[in-house]
Amino acid sequence: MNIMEMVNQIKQNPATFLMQNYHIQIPQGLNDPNQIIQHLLNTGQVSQSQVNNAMQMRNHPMFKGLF
Amino acid sequence: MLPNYNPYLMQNQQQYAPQMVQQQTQSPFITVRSEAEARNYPVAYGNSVTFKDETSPYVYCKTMFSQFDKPSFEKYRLVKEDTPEEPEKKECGCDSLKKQMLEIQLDISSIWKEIDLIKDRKKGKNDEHNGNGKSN
Repeated sequence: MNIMEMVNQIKQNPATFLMQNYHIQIPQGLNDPNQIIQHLLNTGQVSQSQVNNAMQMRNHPMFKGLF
Repeated sequence: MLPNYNPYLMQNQQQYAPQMVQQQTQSPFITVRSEAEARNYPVAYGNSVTFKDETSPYVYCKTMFSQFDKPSFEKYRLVKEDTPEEPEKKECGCDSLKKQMLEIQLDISSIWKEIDLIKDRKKGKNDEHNGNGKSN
């Protein structure tokens, strides 16, 4: 899977992508990226600094135009 | 085996050697493109995130206290503070008086010159009269 396919899959169905590739349990019906991240934060699966770092990656020239 | 070689000591030295971990310096602000983006940003319970708006002069702060409380959202407007300009150097009273004195002195000297000119002319006329009288 190339990067563009991966980005498209994340955009279309983020919950399925995370469950299939990272075996993360996400409640059914949760498909909004922000809600998924909030769930991951609430359940302690990710930290606030990890979220902040990931969210700031869109400013990186490598990812320009992808998000 | 090398003399004075202690494998346990070497192991311990490696274990306690300071780890050279490259730490990334993180900005205290998360950049967002709108207020809505800051409002929807996921924040963990008991955490607070500060945002800097890229498109307008605002800073936001979102805090999640607990699962049962509503998140608090604060909005701050950035206002440019003008640096106070240095007051213009005012002329003191002495300087203006000196200027006036100089102007008056110049006026007086020009008046004296005119008086001298009139005197010379008058003297010249008198000489002419006297000279004519003698010749006649």
